[in-house]
Amino acid sequence: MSAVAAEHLTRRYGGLAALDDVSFEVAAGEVVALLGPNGAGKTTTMEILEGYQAPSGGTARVLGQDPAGAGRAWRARVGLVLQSTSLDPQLTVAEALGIFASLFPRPRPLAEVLELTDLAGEAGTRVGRLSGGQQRRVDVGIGIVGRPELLFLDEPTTGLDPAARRHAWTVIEGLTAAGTTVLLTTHYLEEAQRLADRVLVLTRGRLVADARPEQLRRRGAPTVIRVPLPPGTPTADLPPTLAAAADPDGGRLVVRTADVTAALDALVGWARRHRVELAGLEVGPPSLEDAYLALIEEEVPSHA
Amino acid sequence: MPSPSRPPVPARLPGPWPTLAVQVRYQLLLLGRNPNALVAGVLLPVLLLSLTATRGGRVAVAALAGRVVLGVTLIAYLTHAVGLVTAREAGVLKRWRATPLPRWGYLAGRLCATVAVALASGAVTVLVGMLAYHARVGPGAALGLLAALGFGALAWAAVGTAVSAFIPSAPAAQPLLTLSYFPVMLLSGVLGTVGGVPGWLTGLVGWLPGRPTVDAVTHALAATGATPSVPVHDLAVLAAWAAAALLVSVRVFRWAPAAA
Repeated sequence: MSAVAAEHLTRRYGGLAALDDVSFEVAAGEVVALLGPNGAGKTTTMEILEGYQAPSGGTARVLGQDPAGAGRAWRARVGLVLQSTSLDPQLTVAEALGIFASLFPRPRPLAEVLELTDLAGEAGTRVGRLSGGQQRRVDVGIGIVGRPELLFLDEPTTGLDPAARRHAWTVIEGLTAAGTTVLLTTHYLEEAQRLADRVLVLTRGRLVADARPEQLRRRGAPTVIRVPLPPGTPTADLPPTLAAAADPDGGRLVVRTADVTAALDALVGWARRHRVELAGLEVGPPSLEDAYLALIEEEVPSHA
Repeated sequence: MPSPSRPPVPARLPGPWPTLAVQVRYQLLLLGRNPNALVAGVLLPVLLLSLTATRGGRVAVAALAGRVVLGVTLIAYLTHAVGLVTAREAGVLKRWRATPLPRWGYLAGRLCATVAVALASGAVTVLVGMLAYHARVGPGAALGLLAALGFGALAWAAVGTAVSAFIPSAPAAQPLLTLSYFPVMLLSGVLGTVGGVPGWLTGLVGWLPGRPTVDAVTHALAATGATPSVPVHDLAVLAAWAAAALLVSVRVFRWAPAAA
């Protein structure tokens, strides 16, 4: 049985379809990333699956039940981290975790949650005195304190510094290794690349891709040529075939092309003429971010 | 690398009493760390007592009753309802809805804690009135006072719970609730009789929970002997307000922020 099954989900606000006939499944133990630009319908999807909203059409089954009408026993099997931090600032970290833990039939020990979230040193600190990143980790701690079978993570690492983000990834990997199913939204493609077994891409309320990350990377997206450029390198007279595909970004060229040979030929010729050293030249398949951006551009040409 | 522990055998959800006990403790922690509760429930009534004292340093029972009611209702209505709106708009209530906590659990915990802190506020004000300002309160007042303050705090907290649903945002909570509170309490005589009030307005205010709270506490404090004096009629009115407001709350209470 799937942990999550969405069939023809639709959610309308007046005349606007925030979700339009979206269907997908998440198998038990799977990690699925829900991607899409702002306003694509990610949070609406999550809120329907979490039981906060009822769909205008279609059906949602989560752990075998309709989340809109599910009871306490179902909620004890589901953990979630909302998009924005929602904590009482007056409580200490240990008090907040302990109060939430008391609701579940088999909560994790407090020390374990503090260790998993790297907050052991802040157990006695009031939540309101923590940094934004630390508060986010308390959110994650509350999400996992009840040992959920299914964990909804809505942008769980937003606001975390790179080291804390990587720690969070390790924790999520540990949870999934223990069998927890995870559905997460994120704007960090690196996060989806590392954590997700599958990615779902939403644009304007429609599901436009449901694939494994490597499948998405291979799916018709152009090969990427990357080359760092020394400071002051003139790029104004790049060959038209290259200039059209070039993306001068922080002192480098990122060329997405379906004709690698022609692009390299043009690039090498230009480099020879201008005596530019192409040290660090990389040619390879698109990253998940490249593939995602190409897909979004294809679906919503005005985006970018 | 930290490794999440494997789940043990399934267990049952916590029962209603342990759930309520944790929620009451949680809300008491929040109230205990809320400076508004201390200011509204203790400092303001005691300050007003000092301003009311006669040249001989005495405070009449009627004045003491008004200050007690002021502190109790400020906690039960204003502090409670502002806290609810703030928690709702910050997403705290939405977060609770995603847990196995039953809906009644959160509200019951909040109401119980609010009533308990309101009672403590009333007790402090009465003690200060007796010890510092020689207010004559007999031992027979205790039971009636407990009942009057308990019913009054519950009625006001229930009304605050219902009203909170109609407050659109956290910044609007304090001004809107203050606007709905002070006219009612002033006309109810919490700071003494107000002259020049039209009869129809006095009659209208008599139906609101302010006047019965003031009357019940005044009645209870007036028991100078050892015999308890329980203001049954006022308590019945307050109980009706509490029941009606709780019923309305069940229908209109909102868990999600307005923007959600």
